Amino acid sequence: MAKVIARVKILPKDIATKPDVILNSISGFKLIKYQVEPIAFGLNAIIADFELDDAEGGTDPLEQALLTNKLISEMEVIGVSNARTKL
Amino acid sequence: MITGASQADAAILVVSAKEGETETALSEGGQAREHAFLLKTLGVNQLIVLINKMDATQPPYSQKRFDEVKNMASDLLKLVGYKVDTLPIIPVSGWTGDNLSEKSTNITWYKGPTLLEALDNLQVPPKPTDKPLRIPIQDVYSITGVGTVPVGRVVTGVMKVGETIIVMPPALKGEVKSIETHHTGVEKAEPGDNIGFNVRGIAKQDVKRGMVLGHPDNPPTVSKEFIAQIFVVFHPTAIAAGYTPVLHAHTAQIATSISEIISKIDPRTGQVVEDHPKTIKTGDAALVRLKPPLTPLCIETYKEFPELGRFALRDSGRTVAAGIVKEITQKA
Repeated sequence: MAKVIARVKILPKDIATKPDVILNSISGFKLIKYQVEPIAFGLNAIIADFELDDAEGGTDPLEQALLTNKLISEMEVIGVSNARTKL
Repeated sequence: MITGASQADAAILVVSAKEGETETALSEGGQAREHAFLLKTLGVNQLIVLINKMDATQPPYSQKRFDEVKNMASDLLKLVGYKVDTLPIIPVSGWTGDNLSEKSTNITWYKGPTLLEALDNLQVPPKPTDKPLRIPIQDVYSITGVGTVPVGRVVTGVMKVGETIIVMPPALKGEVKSIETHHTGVEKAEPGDNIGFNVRGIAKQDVKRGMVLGHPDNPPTVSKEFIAQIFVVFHPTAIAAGYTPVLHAHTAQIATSISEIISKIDPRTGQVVEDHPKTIKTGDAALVRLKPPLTPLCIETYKEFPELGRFALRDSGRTVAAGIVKEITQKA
């Protein structure tokens, strides 16, 4: 099955939680890369690329996993692309 | 593609030049055809058309085949309502890289821009700094030593330190004490800025994702009912009045109900094709009345705030339709 990359913006529940702790708590999805986006007053967003199967339901399983993660407050999908394409 | 298209200023429509694939993509129910109608429905008027897989035509890089596909794509885009003469239509191969960033040595008969040049030629929309302030809330924090910190991206207008702001729908007022972007304090925030700001007079629990912030003299519109023009992207059967998908607009996600299908329309002209149809299906454009049944929603007309007047309707993990708000019929 073809693969797609979903780029998501993740906001932590607690601003003190390190990005790698949050990312390590996400299981079942292959993390390709991430970067930290500084926002304000010590709060950082994580911009992370996950590899997904190009299957029915799209990014829903990933979105559900992130939204039910206790370390994550909010998330949004900011881009989806073929895995061979550089986002 | 759909959620992205609901925020896009420009789009690239890719059509395969490979025998059979072109015909499928451009025919009734074909993906390129649906995407073209969808982009027009959402008001995306800057379009680049790529005729792809030129390496796979018979013979490879055939000008004759390019002209055939270009004519087929042009006919469709004219039907959708695009001014075809102004659109770059570029023969490319994604596989071999022809005409993507550099002029192809295999397609010497083509004298137009490469994809990269066409992207550079797109017009950047002006920053809507002169419009009323609108900041959809992404999240809210309570930070020790700082206080309540909503986070979001400025969509329109300018917010300055010291100003009084209002958060809708709860209509709570507060004073902006400080604004930061990239952990740096700024005196004002403009469209496109990702910011966190400390606001006095509003508690963390009073503000939620999906609410919109503005100035009290021109607050964000809160709607209980509105009329929208939608394009049905995918539905396994048919949509009838009473259908309840989830509406995604800016940072809001809210259950909504299609309370009335007012008319089936021609997306190109807006002309009514059928008055009050019982159902609409994949590929149809329609005017519908939408009613968030539980919570009022901050949303604006596309005409006034294109940035906040587009939305997608989703159901069971799939995007069912995308649309624009034509008229707010009932304010909260």
